[in-house]
Amino acid sequence: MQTPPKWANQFFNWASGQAQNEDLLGDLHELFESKVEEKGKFIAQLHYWLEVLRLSFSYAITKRKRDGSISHYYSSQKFNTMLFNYIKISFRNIKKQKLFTFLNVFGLALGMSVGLLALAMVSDLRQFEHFHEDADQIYRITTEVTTSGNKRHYAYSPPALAEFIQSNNTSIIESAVINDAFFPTMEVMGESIQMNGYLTEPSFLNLFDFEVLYGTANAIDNPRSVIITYELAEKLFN
Amino acid sequence: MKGYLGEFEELVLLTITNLGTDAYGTSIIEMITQQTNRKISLGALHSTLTRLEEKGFLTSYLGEPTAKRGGRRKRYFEITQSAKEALSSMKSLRDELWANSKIQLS
Repeated sequence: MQTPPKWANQFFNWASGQAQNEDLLGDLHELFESKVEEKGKFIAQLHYWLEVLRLSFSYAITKRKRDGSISHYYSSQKFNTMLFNYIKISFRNIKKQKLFTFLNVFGLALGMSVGLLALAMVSDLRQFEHFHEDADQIYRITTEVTTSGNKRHYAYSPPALAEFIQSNNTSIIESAVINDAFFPTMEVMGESIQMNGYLTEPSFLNLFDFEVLYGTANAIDNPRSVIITYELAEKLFN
Repeated sequence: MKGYLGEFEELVLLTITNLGTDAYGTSIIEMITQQTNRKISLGALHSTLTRLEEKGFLTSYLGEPTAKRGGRRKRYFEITQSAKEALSSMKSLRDELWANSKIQLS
């Protein structure tokens, strides 16, 4: 045999306070049983909750509480009366102001989703490339050019600077020149695949802790050798 | 007499008279839903019952616990003398209004 949701009963008992509610619970139970036969368990449980809420806010409970209390002005169950009033009024306002409710709820949902997206993005960016052990000591040198008062920023710097800095500044432990002008086209079984990568020096792998899956880390000690990503290896050699 | 009878209140009172000695929350709701095709919540019904009791049109007493409905007792409702008077004065007023109607009503 099906029994009504336990939490609903607990809520109802809490809402009833000192008021006598045995007969009301019985009525609820009986309605629940006929609803189960008619519409199935899930609908019946939903309906039960709805009926419990309606009954909790009804005049019947209010009146019984009032009769049960010793004084109208001083009784222990009064603390949730005002709370119920607030809930009731907010539901009425929601029902009455459909457009405004929609705007509010929609706005809140939009705001929350954008906020969560921003949070996810920032946390992702903050974790980005933090697996390099020396991440806090790695810097990229950029260029700032001032011509007749105009300031311009460039993300790159002259290649010769690396050598110059290393031989003149002892605080630089290691440096690597990276050039992004590397986009070969590969012919693989009659198919041409466009790739892009970087030209760099062997010291690159000392600076960054990229994991080497196959082969050795000194693979690029030779000029004209290449390290490819796992994704590309999968693509080329399956 | 204390207060007037509303439309729903009259319906509830008449339903209770129709149910006789078996008038309690669920049976009243079921009869009203069957006969009028309205959907009423238990809260709405019990609010009205409480108000009717306050106005002195109803009395109620608790029955004996049974195995059904989770072993909980039923609260039975009975109409009072003043309810009978209110109902009959309402009916006679209506009969009079119907009889004196200058438009064909049905």
